[in-house]
Amino acid sequence: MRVRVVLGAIAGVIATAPAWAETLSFPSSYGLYGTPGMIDMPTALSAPDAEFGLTSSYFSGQLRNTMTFQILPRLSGSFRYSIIDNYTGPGTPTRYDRSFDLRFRFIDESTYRPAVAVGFQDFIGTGLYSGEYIVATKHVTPRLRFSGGIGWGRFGSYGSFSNPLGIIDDGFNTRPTGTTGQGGVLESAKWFRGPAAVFGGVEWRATDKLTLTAEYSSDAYTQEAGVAGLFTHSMPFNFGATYQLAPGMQLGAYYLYGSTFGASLNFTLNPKDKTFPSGLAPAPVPVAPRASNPEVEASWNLGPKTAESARVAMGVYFERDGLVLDALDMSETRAVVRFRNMRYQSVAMAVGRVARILTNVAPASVEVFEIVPMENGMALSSVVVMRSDVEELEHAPDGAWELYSRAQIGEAPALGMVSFASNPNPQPLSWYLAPYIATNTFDPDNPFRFDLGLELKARYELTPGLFLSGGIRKKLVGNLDQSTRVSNSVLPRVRTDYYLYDQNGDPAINDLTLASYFRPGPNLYGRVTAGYLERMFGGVSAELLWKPVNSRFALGAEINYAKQRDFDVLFGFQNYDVVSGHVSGYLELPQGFQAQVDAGRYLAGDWGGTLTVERTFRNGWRLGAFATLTDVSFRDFGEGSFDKGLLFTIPLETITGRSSTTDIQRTLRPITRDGGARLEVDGRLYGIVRGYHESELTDQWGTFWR
Amino acid sequence: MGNLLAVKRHILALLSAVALASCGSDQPAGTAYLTGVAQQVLGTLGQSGKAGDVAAQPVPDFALMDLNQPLMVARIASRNAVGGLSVVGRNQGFVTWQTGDGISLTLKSGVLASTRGLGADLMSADIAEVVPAVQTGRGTARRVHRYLDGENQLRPLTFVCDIETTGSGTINVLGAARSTREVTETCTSPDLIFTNVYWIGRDGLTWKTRQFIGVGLGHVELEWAAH
Repeated sequence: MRVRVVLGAIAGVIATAPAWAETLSFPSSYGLYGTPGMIDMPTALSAPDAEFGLTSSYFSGQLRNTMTFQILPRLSGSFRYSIIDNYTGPGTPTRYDRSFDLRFRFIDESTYRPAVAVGFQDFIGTGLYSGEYIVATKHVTPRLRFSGGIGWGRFGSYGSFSNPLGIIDDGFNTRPTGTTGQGGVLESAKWFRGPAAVFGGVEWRATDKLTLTAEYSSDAYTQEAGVAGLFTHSMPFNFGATYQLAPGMQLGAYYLYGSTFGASLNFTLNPKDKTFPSGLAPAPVPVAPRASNPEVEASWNLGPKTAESARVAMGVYFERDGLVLDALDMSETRAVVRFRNMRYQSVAMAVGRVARILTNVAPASVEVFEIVPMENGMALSSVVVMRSDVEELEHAPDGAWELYSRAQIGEAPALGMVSFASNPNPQPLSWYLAPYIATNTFDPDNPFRFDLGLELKARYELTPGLFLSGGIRKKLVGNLDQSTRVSNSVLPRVRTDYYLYDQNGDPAINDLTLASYFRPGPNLYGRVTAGYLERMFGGVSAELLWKPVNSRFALGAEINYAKQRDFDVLFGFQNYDVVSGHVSGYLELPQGFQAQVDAGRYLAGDWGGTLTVERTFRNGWRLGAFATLTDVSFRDFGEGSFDKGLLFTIPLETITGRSSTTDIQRTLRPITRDGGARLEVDGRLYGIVRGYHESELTDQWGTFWR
Repeated sequence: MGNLLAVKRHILALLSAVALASCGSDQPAGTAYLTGVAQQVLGTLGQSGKAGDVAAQPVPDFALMDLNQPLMVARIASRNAVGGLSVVGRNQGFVTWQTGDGISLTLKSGVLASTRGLGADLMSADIAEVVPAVQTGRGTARRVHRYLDGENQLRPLTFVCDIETTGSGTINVLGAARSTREVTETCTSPDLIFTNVYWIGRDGLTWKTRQFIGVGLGHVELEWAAH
């Protein structure tokens, strides 16, 4: 019950809609820090829920690249990578810095009340930009708004006064300096400490595309102006203009601190939007109702010859729709179809197409359609619909939900069932030859290294569920091999030798594996993968997952034996080997949030756990963050203290509109170290199974008739 | 803006060239991703056209042909598209028409009920009250359209529609002179107003019509060579 209460509280926060009518306000601009703000100073405004803002800004030797995500309607998070020239004085090296921000809007704007937000800028690690603020924003007309606030840290460095919080405790009067340990941890000892200052400004929406801004900045730029000498801070006022070049594209120009000019370019996109909301897939085969189609009313002889001809007829429809018929089992009244969806991001859409095809080919006596989607040789769920419902609801105004209410989603029937019309895989081989780009970001010597080359990937299905697959890369141009940052890790170098792999692995056999997928029992899924599992490790990996179709909870276990590969990324191995493995719990939370906890042993032999939280969108987008704590001390871990990063999953179909099951997946780590490193084995079960189960089928059911 | 569009075109052309440089039976994620993100960020080109171009496209003189099959011609000005459609499905009075390249329109008694394959499809329309009102040429009807949003959720839009007969006479439909009456349907919602026009022959069949699909696509114009 306690869990339910907590979940309810989260849902309550999320469901709170801003009371201030959108028509009485205007959208926020992104400032120099790449967060909703004026120029250098923040506002209390939030971007639209789930908006993803990418901003590059530059002034006087300072480049800031910021990614801001509106995690919840009130909560935003930012990741910034900054490059600052001459940081510790003229002629000194360029400083590369990563920073994270969080902002929470705790009061909404209303007729007489401003919106109020609290922000933590650069609150983890070295804290070049660290500062906290409380800021209020109020529109006075639909085209004019004022913001004002009080700031600490950077935001309390110009025109400051002693900290008003000093009344509570003397400790607030001094702001600690330096970084805790190896960095990468919360610098909460600094928050709201030291001198404070006020800031403020005004934004005027001159036209629908042009906004003019003037602000009073409480940032003295002590380091950049004073020490590095990048510009002269001659006055605290900034003036700016932002212009919307195109929807989702903003250009800003600024006159800053009485002495210098700056510019910014911002792109926004929202995972909730799609270029083509209903997609560009060709129209489905229409339903053929029995009443008006004499062909399907013909009596049905259940002999094997007729079943064979039905299978051939179905195969034609399936191929046209990008589906593969695996097996057809037909009785007098029931048709069971096992199929593979090769084309549609939405499984519900594929199921809808199978249902319509069945009305065209199944004999009139067949009333029950059981549709079983397959992937990697595993039957993953079962959708049972009545043929008369499909006939009745094809054009019903609320036909998708009426059909959903009459359909049954459940566990797939056992694979052992008699299937007299099993289809051999018509395309056991899939492959591509394509350019690839491999990147190494955030190397302090060169923040963006990359290789460009050709990649050949192939996968062959030997028998249902047994796959031989591999990928070879040949570099054409690049500078990944120029990294000279020799690992200083005191742990087994399971990841920090990456530069040696970059230098020696050309051409590289990135992976070469034999993988078997199977269903050991009801609600159970299994995988065994052996071979060259990833670029740095080979071995054997075995996984078992328990996931009932209608459950929001799943449990998994994985065990691996991995041996480190030679730096040439060909066939040889080095001496280091390790047994690693995890027990994993997966939980779907309300409002599309998903939590995963993994506990076990990592590649360096360290024991610990990983927490991953993702916001998932019903079109397949997923954005999340993870952190791993193990028995490796922060000191032994090295820079960053512990492993953490951001996760992105973007279904290609949501961007191009063309039907595709391809997802783009990226993991972004501020730094790669050896502690808390997990084996990167392809085809883990939960990611495969989840899309076919009840909650995702329900989320996408609106596409059943698409 | 013209220059900006030109820049966007160049970037997309470059990325498309990279994507096309790949081959195989699978879609490689990396390059398709670049093209896709560029499209998302820069906006998609080639989806808008000039309305004038549609009218300029020649349509074959169907009246001269021997038509054994029902045939409908559709024009969507916003897509700069003209196509012939034939019947591929009939279910409970709803007739589904489809082009050779996989775009379908479903109508009941000449009233558009859904589209498929257009990217911003009308997923369904509750036209139960509209159909009899259009047939009689007057009345008020409630109409509910459903569209998919970016998260695959169906979003209903409800309209109140006034239907009236606004004229009669002989019109040219794909080269054939047809004696019709003109019925106009004006639909309003808090955010949107649109107008549909139906030209209905003495046989009670709709021979020509102009109907609203949705905000992104605007109207479709339909003419029948044979029912």
